Amino acid sequence: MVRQKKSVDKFSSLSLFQTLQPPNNILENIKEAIFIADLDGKLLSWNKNAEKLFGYTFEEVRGKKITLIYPLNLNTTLKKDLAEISDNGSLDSLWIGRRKDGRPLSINIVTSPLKDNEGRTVAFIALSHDISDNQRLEETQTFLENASRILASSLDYQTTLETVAKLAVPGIADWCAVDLLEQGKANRVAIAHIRASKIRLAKQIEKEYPMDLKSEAGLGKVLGSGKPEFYPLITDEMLSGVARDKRHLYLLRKVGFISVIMVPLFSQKKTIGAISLVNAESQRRFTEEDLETAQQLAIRASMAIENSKLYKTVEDERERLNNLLAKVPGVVWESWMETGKSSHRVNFVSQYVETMLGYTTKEWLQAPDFWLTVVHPEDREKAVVESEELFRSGKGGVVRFRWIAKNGKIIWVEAQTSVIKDNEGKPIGTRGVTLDISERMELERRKDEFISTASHELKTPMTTIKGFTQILANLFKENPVAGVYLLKMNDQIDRLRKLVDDLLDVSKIQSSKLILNKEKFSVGELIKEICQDLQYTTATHKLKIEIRNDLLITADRYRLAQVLINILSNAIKYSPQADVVLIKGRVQGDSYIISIKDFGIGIARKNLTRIFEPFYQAETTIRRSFAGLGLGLHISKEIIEMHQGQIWVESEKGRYSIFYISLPIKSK
Amino acid sequence: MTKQKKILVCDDDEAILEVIKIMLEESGFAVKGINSGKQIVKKIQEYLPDLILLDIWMPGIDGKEILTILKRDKVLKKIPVVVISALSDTKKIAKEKGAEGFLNKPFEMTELIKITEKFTNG
Repeated sequence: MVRQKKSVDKFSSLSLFQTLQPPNNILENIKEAIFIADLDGKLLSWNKNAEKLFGYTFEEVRGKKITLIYPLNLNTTLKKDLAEISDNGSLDSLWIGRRKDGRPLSINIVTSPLKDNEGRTVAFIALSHDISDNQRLEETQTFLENASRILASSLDYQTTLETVAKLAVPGIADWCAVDLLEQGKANRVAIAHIRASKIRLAKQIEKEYPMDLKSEAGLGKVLGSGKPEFYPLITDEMLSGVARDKRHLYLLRKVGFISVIMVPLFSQKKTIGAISLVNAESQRRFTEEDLETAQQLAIRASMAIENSKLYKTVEDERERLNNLLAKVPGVVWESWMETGKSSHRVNFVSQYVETMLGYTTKEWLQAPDFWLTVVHPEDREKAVVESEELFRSGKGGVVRFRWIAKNGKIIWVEAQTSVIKDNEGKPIGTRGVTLDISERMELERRKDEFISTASHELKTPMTTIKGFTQILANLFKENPVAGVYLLKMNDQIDRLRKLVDDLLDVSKIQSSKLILNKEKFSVGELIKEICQDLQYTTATHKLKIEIRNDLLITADRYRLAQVLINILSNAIKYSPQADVVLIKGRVQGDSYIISIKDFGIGIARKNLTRIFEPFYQAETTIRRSFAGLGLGLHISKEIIEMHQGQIWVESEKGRYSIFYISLPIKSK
Repeated sequence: MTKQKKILVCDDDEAILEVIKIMLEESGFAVKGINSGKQIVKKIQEYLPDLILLDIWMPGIDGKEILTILKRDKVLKKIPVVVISALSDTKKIAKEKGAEGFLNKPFEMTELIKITEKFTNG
């Protein structure tokens, strides 16, 4: 009960009172319901609209207390209320009134005292009208809002639809039912009415006379056509038309249909069900507004069902994918840059992480960089730096580090990473697979150990043989023949030694273990030194040097010397008919270029890049005279490229070859 | 006449010990060879060489450990050590551990003599 006090001028005119006695034309013409009561609250006057509103004729209410139509609140008495109105003037309030048929009414009522010339209250006059319609509008809005909220609260649309149907009665309709089409059959998902007995009745009808989808009327029609059906007034004739037999008609009559709305539910343009609203006991006929409400409800319900189905599809796909990924023997993962930050967040990791490390996917995703926290502390910095580099360059690549499993076991892994880019090619994330390379590492370690041991073992007797050869040479220095032979022996040992060194280098290169020891030195001086040393070894060729510019470069002097010696030796070796080798050194732009030209057998065009491959040998016919393992140029190329330089050759078969080495002047 | 310089050579390979001995004795050095790192400290303390030639890769004994021990001892660290090794990678480690020189195996006789003379002329 809501009471609002309004301050209004005191009303006082007895003559007006007299003119208000029925039958009275003025009162009849006013839209509002008007009635007059005496000081005890007994009804004295009552207009046509009051009759309409409350269902009683004046004769039926004359002399009766207004509590007949205004059930009072517990907190007050009629006397008190009337006394208040008498003292304070007009009262404007909202009431739940009561009709003759017992139905509640929402009404707005303005009550004023009627006073005589002396200012004494002699009666009360009230104007009132039905605000049920306004109230209904508000109720409808609230209902739709609540329905939306309930439908969105859960993906279990069976339950939410049930809840919404219950919510709709009795405010929106006396009955609310929701039916869904599942595998060609209609399934009643919800049925609501405030009285349980009525629900039992409905269920009985459903059981004895199940819905006929091919029916020309009712729910069957809606489900088939996908169009709403609106029956503002149900007649007995209509019921007879629909009833399949006498009993059916009897049951339908029992329901007491007055007015019916049925609206279809849609999912992806297909009709998947319907919502039915029925009015019976309330006697109220549905209007176009009610049809609109029903359609609004149907839209929301349809959306909820569709969302739920889509979500399920997505979930199913996701599970399928996860199951598939769990079978990959590596941790599949994805990580994105956090918006507005420079950090990354891992947003997906496959089930395999549990197999490999013992951490669940949940644990793994709990922190954005959890993966890093389980990297071996010694490898952490390297892992971060290398990952960042891969990401920023946009090229992706491979990072190796150790992970510590939940049980403490240390595992070497290799993260094969690719970079995710946006439409403009900017890196925004990474994804990849991280594999357990423990076995591979172990194999590599054993290989390295073997190579080192083999190298050591080979060189030990080599040292002895060389040593004794030189001691003998010293001992027999008076004997020229012995001297020559011993010199040849020494040369062969040197050759052998070079082969072993090359093998060791190649093995290191293949394991990425070749390390450069860089220092600053004069490149011109190095060239001169090497040429000087080599000149001693050849009587047939003259090494002509032309250093146009000299500068200090930062590089591994020993390895660069190795490259120059290799190429110069080749130049001499592969030009047995010539007598000169030209060496030039000059600056070009931001590089230093060394060129070595020989006038020998040359290289066929198709082999110009192949010669730098490991184990490549020149044509077999000449092979035997140019023995070797074919590793020198491969190693040279690796060394130069490790310096961020380039090595290439220009050649004309049978005439000349020029080897070029380019080194960046500014080292990185 | 200057006192004869004493060289101590430590290498697990007997043949190499022999080669070095012959080469250095020919050049006027006194040479003592030991084929194991065990007891090396004691032997050095007894012999008091002017130069130690040390093979860093010996089975069972860690040559690097020996080098560290020698360079930690107040008296012994004064004796120059030249590491001889078949593996050129050990050059860096040898330097880090305090070796004064490095010789690659196999070596030229002239190289050996040059380096020995260099470190015994101080």
